[in-house]
Amino acid sequence: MNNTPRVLNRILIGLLGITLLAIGVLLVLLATVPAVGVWWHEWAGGILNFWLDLFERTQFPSRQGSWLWLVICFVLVVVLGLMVAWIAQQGKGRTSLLVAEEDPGDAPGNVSIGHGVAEQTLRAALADRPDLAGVTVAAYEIKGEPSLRIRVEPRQGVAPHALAAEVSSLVEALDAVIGKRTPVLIHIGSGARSRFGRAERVR
Amino acid sequence: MSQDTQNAGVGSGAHDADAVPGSAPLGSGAVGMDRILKRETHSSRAVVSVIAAALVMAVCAYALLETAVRATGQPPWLVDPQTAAERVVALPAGIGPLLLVVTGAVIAMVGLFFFLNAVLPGRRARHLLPDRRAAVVVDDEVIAAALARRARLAANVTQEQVMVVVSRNRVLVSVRPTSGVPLRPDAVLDAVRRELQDMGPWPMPEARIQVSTAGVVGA
Amino acid sequence: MNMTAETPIRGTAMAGHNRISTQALTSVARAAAGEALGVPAHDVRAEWSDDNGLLALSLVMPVAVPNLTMVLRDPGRLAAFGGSIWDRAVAAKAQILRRVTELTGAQLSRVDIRISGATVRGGGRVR
Repeated sequence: MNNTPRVLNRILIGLLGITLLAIGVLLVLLATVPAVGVWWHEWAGGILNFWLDLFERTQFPSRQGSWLWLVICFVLVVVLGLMVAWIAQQGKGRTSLLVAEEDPGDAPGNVSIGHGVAEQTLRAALADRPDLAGVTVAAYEIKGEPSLRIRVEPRQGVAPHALAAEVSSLVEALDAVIGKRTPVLIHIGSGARSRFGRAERVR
Repeated sequence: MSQDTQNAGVGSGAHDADAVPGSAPLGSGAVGMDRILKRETHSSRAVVSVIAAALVMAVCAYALLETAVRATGQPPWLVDPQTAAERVVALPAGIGPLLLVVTGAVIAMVGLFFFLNAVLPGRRARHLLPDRRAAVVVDDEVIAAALARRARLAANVTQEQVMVVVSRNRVLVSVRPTSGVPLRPDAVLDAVRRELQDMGPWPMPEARIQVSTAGVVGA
Repeated sequence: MNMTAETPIRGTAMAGHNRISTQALTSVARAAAGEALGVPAHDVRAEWSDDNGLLALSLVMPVAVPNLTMVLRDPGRLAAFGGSIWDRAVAAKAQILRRVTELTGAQLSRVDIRISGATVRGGGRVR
């Protein structure tokens, strides 16, 4: 639950996939079907000639060489930059403020509440429970709104719905204590293992 | 009484387990819960994205190197871009057909990998639970452990004799009975079903029980 | 933020200036904040900045809260603490502004408060 751009990821991966698939199939066809080779020579040859012509026409005024190369370099650098930006977008979204408002009340000045408040109060309320192995609380900003993610790791055999109900009522108490409601996600998990696996969950 | 592997499950009529959760069947109060839930139950493809980006970066970096070298009039590093383009256009001449096929197949495979990653939903092994205040997601492992415990108690056997497999639409309970002690699979299945009802996971899986012929001695 | 100059303040009826050092201002601010929200002054971090010639105060501090399980059992518990964190912080803001101005005479333009954590008072389980 964060701001990883899911749709964008899939679109870009899909584009890359289709492109590679097309290239791969083309190579195989070129090697096996002679008719494809003929068509390829014509089509690709035409494109190559177009570009060669373009290079001829964009010569530097003073010296030998085309400035189109520099343009290509520039484009490649831009693509590199975009890829770096794409990687940087993964897993973004953590925030430290749960609630923030400018100049509430009579006196001037901002009031904000950090996620540490939720973390410390929830941990204190869930401490020393024999049925829990771990509690993690973090805040994420989704579409401009901060929300809370509570991850609870129960011991084996604990009924999740009972646990969910208890944590949920603690969250309602937290709403009252903080004074503002934020969206909350409760994740009842079994540790890092839950990511890597298939459909079977076995005990 | 020897019994073959029994399937004491009742197959109910096919129900649409893929109903859109957008209409919030789970009673989550807050706005924006549906989006959170949708995100939590599907993979974000972040890892694959990083791999894809790295791949593109590697290719671009090399292309940049050769292009820059050519732009400044230096001799090419590995192969001059123009020569490379000419060679590509001249395909399939110049490269052995076997090599070409293998290269093409490999590239196509990689492309298929990425494409499938983009298109398949990538559902995570999780279920949603209804709750008034928060969005709740539960790993299937936790559900399986809770159901296994309930089955174990109902069947009066040890933990090693029970195995529960939870998938998106199905729950399979496998029990190896204690030798000499008869087992009532209906009672066990009933207990598991009732626990599932209490839990109320979405999508609600169908529970089945399987009792094996081989028992465990003296458990 | 380091204020190298000292803050001049309005004098009283007698002639002459009174200057109050940054350190003293900070102490007063921290004490006032601690008093307003029920935490020890040394847990409060105060920073000053200029706001078009006026002083802007920025506070980062924890706040005392009851244990959540206690609140579930007894809703009156929260009221005994002074209400929700939000209400207390908003009220404290005005209170601190007034108090610091009163005690030091410095002209404050705003008080920003950031609640960084919570000191949980009271255990959850009654055995």
